[in-house]
Amino acid sequence: MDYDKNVLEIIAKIIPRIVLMSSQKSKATDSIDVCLLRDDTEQKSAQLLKNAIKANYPKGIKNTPINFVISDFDNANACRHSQITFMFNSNNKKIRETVTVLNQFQLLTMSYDEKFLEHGVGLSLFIGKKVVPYINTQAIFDNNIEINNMLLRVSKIYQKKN
Amino acid sequence: MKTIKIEYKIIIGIFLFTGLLIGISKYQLTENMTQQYIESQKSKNNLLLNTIVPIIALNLSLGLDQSNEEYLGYIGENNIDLESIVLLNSQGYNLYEYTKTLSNKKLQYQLYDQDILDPLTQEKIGKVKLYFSDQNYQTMLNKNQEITFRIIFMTLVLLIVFTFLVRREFRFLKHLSQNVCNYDPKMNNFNLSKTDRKDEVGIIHNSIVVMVSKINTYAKLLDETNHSLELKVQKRTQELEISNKKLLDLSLTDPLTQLSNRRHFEEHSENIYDIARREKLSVSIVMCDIDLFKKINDTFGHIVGDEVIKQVASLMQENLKRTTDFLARYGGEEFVIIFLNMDSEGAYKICQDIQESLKTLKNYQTHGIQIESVTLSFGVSSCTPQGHDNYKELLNKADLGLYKAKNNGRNCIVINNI
Repeated sequence: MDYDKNVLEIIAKIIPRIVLMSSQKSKATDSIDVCLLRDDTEQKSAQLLKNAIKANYPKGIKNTPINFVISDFDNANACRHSQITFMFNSNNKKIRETVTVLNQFQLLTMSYDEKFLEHGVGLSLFIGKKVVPYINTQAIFDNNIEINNMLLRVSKIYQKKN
Repeated sequence: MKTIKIEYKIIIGIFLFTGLLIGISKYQLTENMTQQYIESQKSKNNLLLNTIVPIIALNLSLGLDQSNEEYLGYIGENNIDLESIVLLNSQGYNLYEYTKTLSNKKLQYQLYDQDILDPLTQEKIGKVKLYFSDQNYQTMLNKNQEITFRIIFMTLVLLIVFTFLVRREFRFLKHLSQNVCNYDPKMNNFNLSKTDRKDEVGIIHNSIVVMVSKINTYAKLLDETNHSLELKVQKRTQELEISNKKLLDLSLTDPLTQLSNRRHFEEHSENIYDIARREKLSVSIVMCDIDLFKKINDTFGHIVGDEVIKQVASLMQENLKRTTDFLARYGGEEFVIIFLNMDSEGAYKICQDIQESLKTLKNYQTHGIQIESVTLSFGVSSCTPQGHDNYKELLNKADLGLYKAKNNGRNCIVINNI
């Protein structure tokens, strides 16, 4: 699948910052650990995103280095030590199961596609006339994670459809 | 021009002054409101800037450029006086610009700008500039200036009106005061007459005219009184002078013979002696005594004695031809004569003339009494005064001569020079 480069660029900028703008910051004392989950077919895209993050933050943020774990959805346990997990596109079932696993570790979860917010992903991007963070506050609060107010202010809040 | 009463002028002045105060108060109020408006605008603009900068910073840091554009556009549209927003990156390049009607004349706008810092790293990631229109401020400023000009204009008009009124009053008062200052009651040079003005200035003017008229009347009366007093004083002075002369004469004259008395003789002799000493002239003194005068008194009484003395004095005076010859009654029946510039021979000759004249008194009758004869004895002394000598010495010599003449059988002349 082809991902929009501009969107990936925004995601690359957002991922490490969201860690530091949430209660996950307390877990990132030595490094910011980012976990990228993808299907086997998205290996290249995952690598692109990793490079994009490194390009944006070559020395990390505030001298905190950024470490990466790239794994497939079946090995979601590999993300247990990270503060945020980004999920590339996959089928709904896999996403839903992965979210269930990741929720055990109380992580921030983020997906490329906003439709996965419906399956419990905490964060995505809303792409309309403009691109803004799209936050599933319910999912995040369920994992006992707090988000910076300013971030909430610039973001779109996801409302689950009944 | 019709005059206005002072109370009306005061009321007009109060009204005008009150108007001026109201104008100044209004100007002050407008000035305060303008200042408050400026301050509130500053606060509002700073608040807006402080509100949007964190959001812009977050959007910039997250790479949400479109969000910034939309957000700043929204801010621009909802702030009427916000004319332009410029968003720059850290290198100073324009990232976004929102403009309503911003012209090139940016000086007419109030600029508020602030650096944008990364919310996490606090590094400068851009700068935002907000241009606020100061049209409202300019409008208020113009209105305030208009009020100021109106106040200045009104003040000038009031000043001119007041100056005109005050000058008019002062001109009248100045003319009055000049006349009062130059007024001299002796010259009677007050030329003003009563005025028809009914105001306070007119009342003062007319009061002064009346007062000056009274002063003139009293000055004339005073002049007449002074003149009368001067005449009285003059008359009294003359009377006093006459009385003084009489007193002086009385003090220097023998009341019986009307000749000079001894005191007068002594004063006069000192002067004569001084003149003689200065001019190196001779002086002669003759002491004279009526022979056996006591017998006349005892025989015929004092009234006859006095008559004899008067007759003798008169005869002696008749024989003194020069104005400088000075005869005095020295006391009782004694007479004394002082001659200036006359030696003893001259004096002797005059004594002889007196003796010769006395012969006319032989067998003369007075108060019904026959007096056989009256004779005189003379003592003559002469000298030319020198050094510190005085007339008394000469008088003593003459007196000694008289004594000798008495001893020589009376009715004779003895020269006894120094």
